[in-house]
Amino acid sequence: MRQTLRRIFDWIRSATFTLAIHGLIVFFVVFGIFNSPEKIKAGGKPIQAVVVSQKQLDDKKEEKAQKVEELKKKQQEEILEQKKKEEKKIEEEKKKQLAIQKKEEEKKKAEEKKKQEELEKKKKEQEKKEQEALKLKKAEEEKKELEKKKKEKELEEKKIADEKKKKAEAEKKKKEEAEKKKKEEEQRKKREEEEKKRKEEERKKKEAAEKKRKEEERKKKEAAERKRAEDELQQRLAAERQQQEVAQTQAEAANALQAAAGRIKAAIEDNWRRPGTSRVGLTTLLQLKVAPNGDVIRVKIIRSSGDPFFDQSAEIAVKKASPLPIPTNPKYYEYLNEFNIEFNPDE
Amino acid sequence: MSSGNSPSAESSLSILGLIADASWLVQAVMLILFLASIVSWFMIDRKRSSFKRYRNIADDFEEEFWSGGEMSRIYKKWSGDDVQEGIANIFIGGYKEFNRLVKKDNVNRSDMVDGVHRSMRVALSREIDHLETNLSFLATVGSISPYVGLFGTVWGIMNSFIDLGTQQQVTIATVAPGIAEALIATAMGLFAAIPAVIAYNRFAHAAEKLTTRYEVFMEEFVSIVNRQDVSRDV
Repeated sequence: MRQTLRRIFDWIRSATFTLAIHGLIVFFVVFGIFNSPEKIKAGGKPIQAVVVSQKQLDDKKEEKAQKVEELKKKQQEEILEQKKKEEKKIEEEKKKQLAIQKKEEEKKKAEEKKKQEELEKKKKEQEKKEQEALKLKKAEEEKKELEKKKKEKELEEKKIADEKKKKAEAEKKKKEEAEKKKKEEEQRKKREEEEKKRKEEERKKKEAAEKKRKEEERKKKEAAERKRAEDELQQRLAAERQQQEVAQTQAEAANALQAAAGRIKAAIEDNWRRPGTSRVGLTTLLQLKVAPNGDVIRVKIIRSSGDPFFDQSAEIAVKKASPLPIPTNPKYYEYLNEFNIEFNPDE
Repeated sequence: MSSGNSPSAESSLSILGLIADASWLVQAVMLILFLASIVSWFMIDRKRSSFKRYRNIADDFEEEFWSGGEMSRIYKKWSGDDVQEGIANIFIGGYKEFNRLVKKDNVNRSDMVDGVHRSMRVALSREIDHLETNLSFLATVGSISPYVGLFGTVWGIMNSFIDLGTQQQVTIATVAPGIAEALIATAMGLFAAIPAVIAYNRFAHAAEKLTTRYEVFMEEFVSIVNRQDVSRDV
């Protein structure tokens, strides 16, 4: 019994051990630990690098640069003109406003003068009236004294005098009341006038504020628009500059490639073996795709020499020559990961 | 050669991808080899542990036997169900026969020695059989799996050349995956074979050693029986 148990235990232990070993191996295989060669990722757009003379390139570059410069100047001039115009406008408006203000001030002054004169006149009139009243009083007093004297003499006369006096007083009262009324009327008129004036001024003020506000809004709008235009210009310039840079890098890459072409050709020819059946002087155009270190990823025959053995020998030579001595600057790689090369070993 | 591995298809040059792309026959070969590897490793571990146990039993038993104890006591101790293995089995076979013969009257000395010797030999051959079980499987895996792997490789390469024949432009990239995939079969064959061969050699040697040890013990026991018989006769 114990023996069978032990046997089963042994069996399970062995099975576990075995499966562990194989599981480990399968794991390694799946996760590629035994699979060392790193894959080359060829990115970027391939260009057909055609050999172009440096002078042409320079001319093109200059033309482009000039165009850009002109465009810049034009736009700057436009902006300056716009600015000038606006400044002029603003100045004119300022002048206008100043004139209006002056006029208004003069008007105000004149009105004030008028007012003062009126006030003075009123004052004089009042003074006159007061003097008159004083005079009247004096006359009455004299009269009273006379009456008193007369009283003592004659009651009847007195009575008459009294009556007279009463009459005079009534008249006086009437007069005073009339004056008062007149005064009140004048005051009311004055107040109304003042009110009117005040209202007028307020209205003017409001109008001025409104105008100012509108003006400011307009200015703001214009400034925003100008800014937008400037930004747009800047953006366009930046884009153009970038384009120019790309073109320049591309041209540099092409130049570097041209410079390296001799070396590349030599490397390929070193690894080339003439097929026994081929004529002398054959030429084939190859398209190469290379990794950044010069490893050849793909060779394609674009234009056959007409002799398949020669073509194949060229292809083999290129592969043997891998890695090729391409320009190593990583900046250029994007533009020369694919290029054409003419293989003509007999020239 | 540096250009040989880079220009081929960039998609799936991993081992797993190659296995998945292989033809069904190559895949079957790979499966067989993988199973053979699993089983042979299983056997290796089982054999290893059983040899270890046999050695331990032999060590313990011999130490006890030669320390001069009573035969009957030793017999009682080692005839239990859980220890009756290896050298103990041989001893038990001899001792049982000896006891049986001793109880009989008309047994002369040479007959007794012969009887004990015979029964021990039977036990010995049974033990040797135990030692050598599954060793033949390891030997088979060790010698056959390289051929099986090679068969898969040949088949794969054959197929890839057949495909090649239909193409106009032949590049290394068109040949490489087929050959690589076929070579995996050989690799697996070797992977299964190498441990199996090593283990087979080791275990065959260990079995031989144990067999010698059993035989020596057997002879010694027979000689003891012979001596005892002589002493009783006298």
